[in-house]
Amino acid sequence: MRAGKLAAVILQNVRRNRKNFIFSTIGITIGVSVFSFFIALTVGIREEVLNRIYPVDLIEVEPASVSIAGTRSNVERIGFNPEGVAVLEGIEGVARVYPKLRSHFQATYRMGGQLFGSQGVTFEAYFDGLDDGLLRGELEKSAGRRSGKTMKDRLKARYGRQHRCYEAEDCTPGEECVQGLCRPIEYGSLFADHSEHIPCKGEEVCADGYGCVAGRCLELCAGGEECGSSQQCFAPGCQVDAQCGSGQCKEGRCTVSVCLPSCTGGCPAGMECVPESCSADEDCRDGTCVTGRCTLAGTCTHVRCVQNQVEKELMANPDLRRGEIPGLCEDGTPQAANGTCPPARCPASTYCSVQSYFRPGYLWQDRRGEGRCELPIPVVLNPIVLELFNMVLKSTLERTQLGTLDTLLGYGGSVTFGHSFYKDTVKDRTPVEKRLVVVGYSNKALEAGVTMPMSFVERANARYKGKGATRQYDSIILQLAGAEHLPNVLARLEQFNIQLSRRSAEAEKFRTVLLVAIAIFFIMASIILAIAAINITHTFLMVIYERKREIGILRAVGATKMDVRLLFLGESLLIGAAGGAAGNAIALGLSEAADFLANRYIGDFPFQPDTFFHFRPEWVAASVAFALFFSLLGAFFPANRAAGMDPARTLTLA
Amino acid sequence: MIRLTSIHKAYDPHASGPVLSDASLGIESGEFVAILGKSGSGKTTLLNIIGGLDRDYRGQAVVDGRELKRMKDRELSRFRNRTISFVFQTFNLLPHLSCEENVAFPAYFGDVVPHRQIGVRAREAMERVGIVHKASAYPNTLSGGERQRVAIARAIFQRPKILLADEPTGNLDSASGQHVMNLFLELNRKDGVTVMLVTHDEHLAALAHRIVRIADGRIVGEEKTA
Ligand SMILES: Nc1ncnc2c1ncn2[C@@H]1O[C@H](COP(=O)(O)OP(=O)(O)O)[C@@H](O)[C@H]1O
Ligand SMILES: [Mg+2]
Repeated sequence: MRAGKLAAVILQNVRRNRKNFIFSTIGITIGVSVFSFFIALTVGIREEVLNRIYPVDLIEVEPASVSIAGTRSNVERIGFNPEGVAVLEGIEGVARVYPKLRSHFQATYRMGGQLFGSQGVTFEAYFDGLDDGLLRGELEKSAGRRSGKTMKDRLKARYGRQHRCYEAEDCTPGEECVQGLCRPIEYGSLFADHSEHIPCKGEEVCADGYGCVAGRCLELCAGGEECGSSQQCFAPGCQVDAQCGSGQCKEGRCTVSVCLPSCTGGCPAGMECVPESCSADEDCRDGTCVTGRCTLAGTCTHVRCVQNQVEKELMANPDLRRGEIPGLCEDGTPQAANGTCPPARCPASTYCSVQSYFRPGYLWQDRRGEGRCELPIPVVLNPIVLELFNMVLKSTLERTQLGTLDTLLGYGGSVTFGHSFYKDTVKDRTPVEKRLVVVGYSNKALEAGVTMPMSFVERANARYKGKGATRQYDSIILQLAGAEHLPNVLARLEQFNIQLSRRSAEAEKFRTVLLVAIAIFFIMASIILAIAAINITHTFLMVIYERKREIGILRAVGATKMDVRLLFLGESLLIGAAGGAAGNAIALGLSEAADFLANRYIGDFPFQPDTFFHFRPEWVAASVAFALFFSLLGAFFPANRAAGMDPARTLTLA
Repeated sequence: MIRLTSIHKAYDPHASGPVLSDASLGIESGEFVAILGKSGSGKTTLLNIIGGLDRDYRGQAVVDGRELKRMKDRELSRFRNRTISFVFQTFNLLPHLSCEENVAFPAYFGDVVPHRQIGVRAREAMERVGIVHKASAYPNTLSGGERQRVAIARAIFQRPKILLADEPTGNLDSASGQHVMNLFLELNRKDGVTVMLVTHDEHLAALAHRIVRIADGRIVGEEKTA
C-alpha cells in the first residue's frame, strides 16, 4: 500500500470518528503543553535573565581566599600572573583568557546633566582594567554587528551618500572624518591605552620599571629595542635633575632613557612631534641636524593647551560633545556672525587635560588651566550597568530610558583620580581629572563601574599606591569555546588553588537549579504523556472492537496485515502530531498571557525581559517527537491486535 | 481455476465434528457453480477457504494455479485484491463512505486501476449494475437491493477472475434477488467471470451451470443443469 493511499484511508477514519480522535488528542495536548510551556519558561529565564546577568560561557576565577591546598593533595598552584594565564589558556574548552586588574586607589566619577538632569552627579568610582588588545577585537566585532545588521545596511554605510570633511567638526556627532569622508565612529577601536598623562612628583609613585621622568611615570629603557612597536628609547631633554627621576640632568639631557612614542609613522591624536635637539648630525637617531633640531628623530608629546571656556564647559557637563556648545567656538571665543570659528588648539576627539589641585572645601576651584591635549580615557561598560542605569532613570529620575546600548556610545563623564568621598588612602593627594568616553560594552566588564585598558590601570595603581601596588591580577575571566565545555573546565579548575568568583559560583547554582527544574518538568510531562498513551490504547481497543467487521472488509478487498497495522499506527501519529501542534499552540498562548500578566502586575525590575519564554526549535521538535512517540506507544498493542484478527471470523459475525 | 482436494476444517477440535470433511471440488474457468446446502452445512467456510480469508484447514486449495497455503500474507492479500472478490449476504459496505467511494475502495490496496482512472472505472462498474444514480449517496440511505448492487459493483471494480457470492440474495426480496442473480449471470456470460454462488434457494441454483450440494461439511452431490 502506498503512503499516499494509506494517508487517505487514515484521514477517512479520522474524519469519521472525530470525537474519538479529539478525545485521544486531549491527553497528548495537555502533556505537550506542560512540557513546552515549562521548558520554554526555564530556557527563557536562562537566556533572558540568567545569561544576561551571568553569561553562560564566561567564568571568573579568583585566588582562593582560604587555601584549598591544605585540605587536598596534588593541588597545582597557579599564580595570578602571565604564567598562570598561560596555564589556564591550555585548558581544553577555554577559548580565551582575560586577566583583570582592579583599581587599588580611590577616585570619583562625575556625570553630566544631560543624562542625570541639570545638575549632574558625582559619585565614588570603581573601575578595573582588561587587556585592551584582547577586548578590542570583541568590541569591534559587536560594533560591526550593531551598525550593519543587513547587507543593505553595510552597503549603505560603505557606499551611501557621505559628507566630505576636513575634520570631525564637519561631521554630525557620532561620526568622524576618515580620509575626507564622514564615517560613523568605530568606538570599539578606541579602546586602547593612549598613554594618558598622569603627573608624578617622585619616583616612589611609579611602577617597577618606570621612572618619574619629565613629570610622569615612563617606562625606563637602556637604549635598545625594548620599547613597544610605536615607541622609541629616548633620553629626554631637561633643565633640572628633578625632571630626570633617579637620573641627573647633564647638558640639557637626562642620564636615564625612557620609552616614548616616536614620530615615525605620525603621532596619536592630541600629540605632536617634538624634534630632538642636537648640535651635530651624530646626535640624531634619524635624519640630520638642522638649526639645532633633528629632521626625523623626535618624540610624540602631548600638545600643550590652556583650558578655555569650552574646556570648562565640557568639564562641567562631560556628556556634552565638543562643538555642541551653542554660540561658542572650540577655543571658547564667541562664534562669528556666520557661525564660523578659528581652528581649535586641541584637535578633535581630544580635550585639554589640566591638573587640578586638591584643597579641602575648594574642590575644583583652583585649576591652573594649563594642560595637555589628550584623548579621553576609553571605558567599556557591562550591559548590566545600562540596565541598572535605565532603572534609575525611569523610576527615580522619571526620565525616559535609554533605548539601546548604542545610545551611550561616545558619552562620557569625567573621573578624578585620587579623590574620594571616603577616607583618603592615596599617597599623593594631587587629584587628576580626566575625561572618559564610553567606547563599547562587554559582559566581561565590571558590573558596578567601568573597565579601562589594563595597562592604564596598572600605571594608575602604581601612581597612586606606589611601587608596592600589587602586580598580580585580581581575577581572571575565562571565555569558553561553548557552554558545553563548562563542566570539563570546572573540573579542571578544581585542580588549581583558585575559586570561582562569587558571581560565577552563584551562576553555577542557578544553572543547577534550572537543570533540575527542566528534569522535573520532563518527568512531569512524561507521566502525563504516558497516561495519554494508556488512554490511546484504551480508545483504540474500543474502536477496533467496534470496527472488527470493517477490518475484515479491508482484508477481503486486499489489505495486508501490515496495512491494517499501519492504518492504526498512522492514525496514532496523527493524534501525536495534532496533540504536539495543539500543545505547543496552547503553550505559546499561555506564555503570551503570562508575559502580559507579568508586564501588567509585576512592574519594572532590572533585567526585565520582553518575554520570559524561549521556544527553542529543538525543544519544540523534542516535544512533538515526544508526543509522536507516546501516541505510537499507545497504539502499538491495539494495532497489532487489529492486524492479527482473523478476517473470516470477523466477516461471518452476524 | 479452482481445485480443492480433501479439505478438512474444524473450528473446535473438541466439537462434535468437523465443519468440512474431505471436501474435494474442481471448478473450471468461466463456470457458474451454485453451492446448495442448508444453513450451517459449511458453505461459507468453504468459500472463505477458496477466497484466502481462512488459512486454517487441512488439504489443498489451488486457485488460479496457486496453492493458497504456500502464499505469504502479502501475496494472499494481493490475490484477494485482484484475482477474486466477494459479495456477502450482509453487503459489508463501509458506512462512512459514499457508494462511489465504497466501489473504488479496493483501489487503495493495490494498483490494478491506474490512479487517474479510478473515478471512471468506479462509475463504469456502477453503471453495469444500474446504481450509478446513487454514486454519491451513503449506503444507509439505500434499500437492500441497491446496497447489494453497490457491493457487486465493488466486487467487479478490480475486474477479478473469480466472484465468490455468499447468499447474496438472502436479505433481499424476490424481485431484487432476481435482479442481482441476473447481474451475476450476465457477468459470467459476457465477461467470462468464474462465479461461485452460495445459496439455499433451489430456483436460483437452477440458473447455474452446475449445482454442488453440501450437507454437514461433505459434498454430497453434483449435477449439471440444463
Ligand atoms: N468462527 C466460528 N467458530 C466456531 N464455529 C463456527 C464458526 N463459523 C462457523 N462455525 C460453525 O461451522 C459450521 C458451518 O458454518 P458455515 O460455514 O457458516 O455454514 P453455512 O454458511 O453453510 O451456514 C456451523 O456449524 C457453524 O456453527
Ligand atoms: Mg453461510
